[in-house]
Amino acid sequence: MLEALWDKRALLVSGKGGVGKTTLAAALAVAAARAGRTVLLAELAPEEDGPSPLAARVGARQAGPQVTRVRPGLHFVRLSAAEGHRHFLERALPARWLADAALRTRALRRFLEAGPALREMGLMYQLLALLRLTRPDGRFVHPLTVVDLPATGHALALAALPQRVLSLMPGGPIGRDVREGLDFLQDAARTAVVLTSLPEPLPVSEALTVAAELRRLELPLSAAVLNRMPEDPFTPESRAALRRLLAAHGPHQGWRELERLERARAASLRLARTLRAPLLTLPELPATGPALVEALAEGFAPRPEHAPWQEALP
Amino acid sequence: MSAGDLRRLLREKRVVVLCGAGGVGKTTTAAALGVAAARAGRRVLVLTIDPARRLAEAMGLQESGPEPTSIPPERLFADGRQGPGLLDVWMLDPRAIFERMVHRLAPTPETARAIVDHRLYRFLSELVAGVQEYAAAEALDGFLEDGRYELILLDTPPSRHALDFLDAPGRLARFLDERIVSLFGPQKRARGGRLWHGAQVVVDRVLAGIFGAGFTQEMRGFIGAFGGLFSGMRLHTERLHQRLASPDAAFLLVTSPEPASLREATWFRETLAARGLPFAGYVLNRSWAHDDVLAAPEALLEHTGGDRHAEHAVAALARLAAVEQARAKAHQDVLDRLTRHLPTGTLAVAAPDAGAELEEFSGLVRLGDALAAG
Repeated sequence: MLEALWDKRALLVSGKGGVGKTTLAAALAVAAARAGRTVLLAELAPEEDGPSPLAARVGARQAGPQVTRVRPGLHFVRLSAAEGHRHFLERALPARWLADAALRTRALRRFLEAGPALREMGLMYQLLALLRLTRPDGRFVHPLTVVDLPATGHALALAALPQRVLSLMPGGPIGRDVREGLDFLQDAARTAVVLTSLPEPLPVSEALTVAAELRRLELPLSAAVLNRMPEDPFTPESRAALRRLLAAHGPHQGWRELERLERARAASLRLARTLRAPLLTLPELPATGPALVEALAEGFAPRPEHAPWQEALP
Repeated sequence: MSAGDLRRLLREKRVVVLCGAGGVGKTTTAAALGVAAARAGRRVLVLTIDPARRLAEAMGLQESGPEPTSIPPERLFADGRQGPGLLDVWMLDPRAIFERMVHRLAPTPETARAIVDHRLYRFLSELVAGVQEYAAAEALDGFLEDGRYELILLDTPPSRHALDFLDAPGRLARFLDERIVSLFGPQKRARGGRLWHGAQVVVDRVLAGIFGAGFTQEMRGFIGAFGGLFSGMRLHTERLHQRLASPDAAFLLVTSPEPASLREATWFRETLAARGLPFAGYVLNRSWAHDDVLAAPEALLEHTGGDRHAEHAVAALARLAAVEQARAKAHQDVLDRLTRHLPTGTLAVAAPDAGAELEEFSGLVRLGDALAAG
């Protein structure tokens, strides 16, 4: 189900808050690293300070704008708007000293920090700079990057930003870079959006809305993951028998869990029927945090022979 | 110490801000509390951003309109006698809010129109990233100022951290810093001595390098026109902060009832205290902590009549009951631990898991009643 993902350059993981998006992003990265791939796990959060749940999931000791190595093949970075602004100014301005002077100017720095959309632009800019980075021999430094996006509201706003910026200033250095970034993100050969949801009515509704919005923005939705699907202990016959028993004798202990199960089944069916993308359903596991990441990664691991040619070189 | 407190909160406060990470059910809680307060007789507004469609349908919200929508009294008081209370719901439309603000703050209607018609203005007001928070703060300030409602429940925009919303007005204030504005203002008005002039020269070259001279000129023109509004916007921001810090306000953290949320709860309380904002307590949403007195699944065995499928069904239900019990106990533990460390005068309530019920208005009524009753 996930095979198609491993040939991409960027996996963008999104979903409603609380659906396990961060855990999924971490597990995808860990799985790829285990299979011998070189992976960068990137956190794109609207807030850059405070604890990083993503860093904690993979055991990264540092959560900052510098790429740090977490374990063999796995690197971590918390994208930073300021870092993106720096990259941008260095590329856009004719002289290095001018970029340095600009960044030392407090008023301009504060403008970049506080101006509407400028933070988001900075975050995306650092991401694109990392994706673009190559070694002296021409190979990519980060051949595969897994991005943990903010919750859907913010993520969609982010996704819509490049087009809005382009309509405002199609030319100039900003227009040029935004165009390049948008081309990358809309290219199904390089980018895959992975949508996360839970088998509950509201998260499924939201996932379907997001899927429609992604189509409108021409971003490639490659797969959806339905997290924490409760195990169904019934056969069709015993389910019917239980319905008869409960109808005759009233609710008994376990009915809340039963209702949850039935809601989950209905929600999962609705998602599978309506979503036009492969859907992977994951069971509800007793683990949490890093242990859950490792357990999920176990199931995702790409086959080593699937690694593309860049990885075969020493 | 829960029931009376939440009821009192809904009776006495002017604004209740619901904070929480995305996905915990803030909007649902805001709606249910709004229903409870209105049914108890107050004139209530629930301000929300982008509610899930089914919830919006349950509340009778159509699309986001320019004005709040009233819940018809026959719906609000479907089960009995109508009271004096009123419930309006408004799905925030950042664009409408900004436009209204411009019209209110601009010196003349012509200036307002010039700003609103500017292509940069349209760009700014259509951005959602980072603008929702500004809009929520601006709308809250506006409604608190005009006094139409006795109680406003604000469902804050979804974010990873519970308090992101609070930083927005601060960011706005920083953005509206006069010196930043003067960078983009008419070039000759640079003030602040030689050092500042030096900065201006750098900024001019940087802006021209980034945006190109034509666009920079356009931006200067826009900021020149918009700049007149900034002092008014700053005033709103400061006024709102004072109001939120007053005893008329209350901040509730809506959180999941899982053990993982205990840390977030502590962090929330400390951060509010550090900012001098009134912490009111926690709502543990979708909690199974409430005990139902129901018979064990095994009691059904005597009715199976030896049917293989029925016996299988009872065994399966017993497994579900064990899972259910473990979950209920974990939720109860979280509630107990939070309650033990609560400062006086604050509350921790468990909101029952309403499941699919919330697709109908009556579900919100029941949830509101359950919350207000503790």
